[in-house]
Amino acid sequence: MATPLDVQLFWVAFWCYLVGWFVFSLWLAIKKPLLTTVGSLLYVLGFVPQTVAFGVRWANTGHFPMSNMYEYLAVMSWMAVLTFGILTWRYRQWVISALITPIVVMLMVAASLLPKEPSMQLMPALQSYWLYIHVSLASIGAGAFAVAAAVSMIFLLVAKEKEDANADFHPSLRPALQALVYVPLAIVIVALVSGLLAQQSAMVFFGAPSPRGGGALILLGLYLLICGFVWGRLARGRSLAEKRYWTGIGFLGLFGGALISGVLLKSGSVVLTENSPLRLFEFFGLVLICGTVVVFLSHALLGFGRIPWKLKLEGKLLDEVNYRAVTLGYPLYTLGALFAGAIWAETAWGSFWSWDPKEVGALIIWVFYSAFLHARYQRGWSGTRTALLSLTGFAMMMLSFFGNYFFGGLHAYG
Amino acid sequence: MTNGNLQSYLTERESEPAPKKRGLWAMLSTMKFAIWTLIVLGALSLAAMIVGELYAPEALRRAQGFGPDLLRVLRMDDPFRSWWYRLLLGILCLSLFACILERTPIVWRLWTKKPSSDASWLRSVRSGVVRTVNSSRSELESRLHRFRWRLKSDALWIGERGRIGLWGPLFTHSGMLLIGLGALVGSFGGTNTRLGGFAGDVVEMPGMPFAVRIDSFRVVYYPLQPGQWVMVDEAWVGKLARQASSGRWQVRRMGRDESEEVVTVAADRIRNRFASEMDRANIKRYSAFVTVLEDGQEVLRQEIAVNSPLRRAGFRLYQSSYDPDHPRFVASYDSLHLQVSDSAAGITDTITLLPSVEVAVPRDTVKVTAGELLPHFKLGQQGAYSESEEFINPAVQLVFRGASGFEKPRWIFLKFPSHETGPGRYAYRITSLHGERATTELMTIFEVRRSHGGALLWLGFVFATIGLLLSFYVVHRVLYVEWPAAGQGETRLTGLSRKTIRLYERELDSLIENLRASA
Repeated sequence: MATPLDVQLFWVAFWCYLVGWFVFSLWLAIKKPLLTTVGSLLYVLGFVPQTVAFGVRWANTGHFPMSNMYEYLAVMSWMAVLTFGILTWRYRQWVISALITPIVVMLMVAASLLPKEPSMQLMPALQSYWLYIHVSLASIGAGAFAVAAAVSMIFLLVAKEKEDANADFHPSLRPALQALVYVPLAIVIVALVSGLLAQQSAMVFFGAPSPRGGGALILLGLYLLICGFVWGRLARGRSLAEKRYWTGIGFLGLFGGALISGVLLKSGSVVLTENSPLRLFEFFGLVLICGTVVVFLSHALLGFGRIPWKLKLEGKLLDEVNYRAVTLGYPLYTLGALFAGAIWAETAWGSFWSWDPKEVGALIIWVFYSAFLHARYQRGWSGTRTALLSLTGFAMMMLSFFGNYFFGGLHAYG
Repeated sequence: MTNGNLQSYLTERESEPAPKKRGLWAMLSTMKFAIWTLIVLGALSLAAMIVGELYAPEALRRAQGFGPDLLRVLRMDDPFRSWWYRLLLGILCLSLFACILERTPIVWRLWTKKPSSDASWLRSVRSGVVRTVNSSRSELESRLHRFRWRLKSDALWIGERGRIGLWGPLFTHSGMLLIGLGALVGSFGGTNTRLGGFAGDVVEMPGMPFAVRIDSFRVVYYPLQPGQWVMVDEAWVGKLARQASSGRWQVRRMGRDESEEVVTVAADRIRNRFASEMDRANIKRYSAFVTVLEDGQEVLRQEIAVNSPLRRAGFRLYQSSYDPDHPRFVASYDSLHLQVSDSAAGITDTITLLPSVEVAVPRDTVKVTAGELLPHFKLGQQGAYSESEEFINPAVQLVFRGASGFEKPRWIFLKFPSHETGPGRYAYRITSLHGERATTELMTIFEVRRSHGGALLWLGFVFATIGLLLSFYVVHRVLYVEWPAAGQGETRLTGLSRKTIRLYERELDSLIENLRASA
């Protein structure tokens, strides 16, 4: 079947952003001003078809194209481009464009994995003007949070703070490898002493049916998670810059792992246990396994930490852009995801709040970003701490976004 | 928190943290307490959601063991109406109230109090933007027209911009307090029940000061279009791929071995409405037309649809769903011909009956009325009913009334014309039925709700929306302009803001560049 025009335009935009990212990456290395012009032009060339794609899809379906997850994610990536465009223009810092694009590309890859078939028929509950308000504001807010997360990732990997001037920075894999040896030893000892394996304890606690193949995913994921914590403990004596770097790599692993897991599940290479309430944990296991590979690959691709260390990027600027992106997104997310959602729910379902999984997810995300803003505004939190909060918030948002694959509920449309 | 003095407000983060206050009220008013309450609420909401996924409420009520016992004590079958959840929500509201009470006088002072003309403290500020410029007062004033000058002396000007933003956090927190209170009030009491009925039924419930008569209920399906699950030839289900030509469609037929073939079929062989979960996506709209009755009087007619509830006297009726599994088949007709035979006398008469119109049987005192028509007659425990809308075994109920007051209903079958022996000496047979038609009626199901706290929630939304817009899209900026004595030296500009100082820095730099260029 022929690819619809809007999907073709989506791919045009994707390739423009991808090439634009490479051009800006080149600019980071050789700093030729021409490259910023070419890169910006490519972003504009990507943004235009992406915007047109939105209009084409609207015209084709006859309704606001926000009725499934592909459309939501496509708009989220569109908004992320718009947000970083605004921020680049306001701060006149090309480096923002250079380094934020990967998250846009990542969002578009995630969108491309979802069914793109347009829904020509809106179910009765979705036939309301609140659909426009609720979903568009929520996705715009989410797009801004995505930009904040991207900036935070850059902050952790690249930023230099005053105290880093004479810091020792030799990111070593030794603690990670130590952890990979110590943890299984500890697990074997605990399992032998207590006679209780992780899967059994999960079954005892939840009283849920045992997934067969999925058990291995859960166990391996759990093992890698423990390794991560042990790694963190072993790296205590390292410099702050090094710790930041590894934390950034860790988040890169988490997001990359989630993306690869999505590809594996989509292609059918990995299948989660049908109808098991533990399939979410299986997914986490898969993410952690793939994420571990991404961690080591990213470290290698970043020249074992040497490339980011050479980039002279001011931490304060990145920190402010992170904050600005969150303050752009937070009111929109609150108005769209929570208020407009609650008002629409009252009109459609009879209750402002139904404690549906997606609603709980939105509430938790909102609480989290509220805490972020208060910590920053009232307690003066900045730099590494706010970067970590931003990345955690975005990870929570992606989990909530894909949560209806695991939890179902009233929002399980796409 | 600052004491309401502009200087301490702008330099709060540079100063030593205020000594910790003691006492319950002081603890409630701290941001830390509110944030921790929010975090606990968020974490428990997540835990409740996961427990809800693992255990259906019914399963939790039946489950045995320590874990289920503990979950039952915590009311995890309905966590959001549990005592501990309400308690946490109450604590959060109290904390928000304490915060608002503490911060309102501070914001008021910042709003009303004139800034001090003493600017010596500016020398020790670390977080401000300091620039010097050589410019006349009039030129600088025209360039800085967006600032409202709150103090103008020979040596010092103090301007502010976006001062309205100071009210943002207060409005936001007030809105959140109202929303929290609304949620708390709404979690107590209220009505939430379901009522159903067919067209013609009157639904009412105790305490509801009105009744609702269902005039009709309809389900509208989308026309055939690609992507729909459809039934073909009443035999197999497929997915519409595209329209092949006028009146013909390509349908994807999935085999059991996951194979797929595309078949072209005529549109009249395809139905997108069939009794399956799959056809639910083909429903465009379902709605009931109702008449509201008060004391038996019709007061209002309205359509109740999804997204369009009936709101009256504090009650809300939602078009919740309908029951496709137990339809009612209703048939009607224009007239019928009834053959009346007296076999003993060898006389046969044919009379025409109109529905519900009583007609005298010839040469007898008995009168007959033609009643209900069932297109597909079946007899069940509840009596006679129609199994479908197809005229497979049509039957009409005739009601005979005699002069002595007897009344005898009797079903007469059209396709099985055995002469029914009626009351008296006659036998009856329906020879023809005219204008017969049948329709399927579904039971519509309304959700009736009444809850408290709605007004508080609405007010909260308004307050919080205003607050959010003021807090995040209006940035409060302060500019101190120190003029050199007797025209000697340069003018010193100090920009202070608690938010996005780098943007402010860029803005002042651009201003200075413009001033230099114009000079």
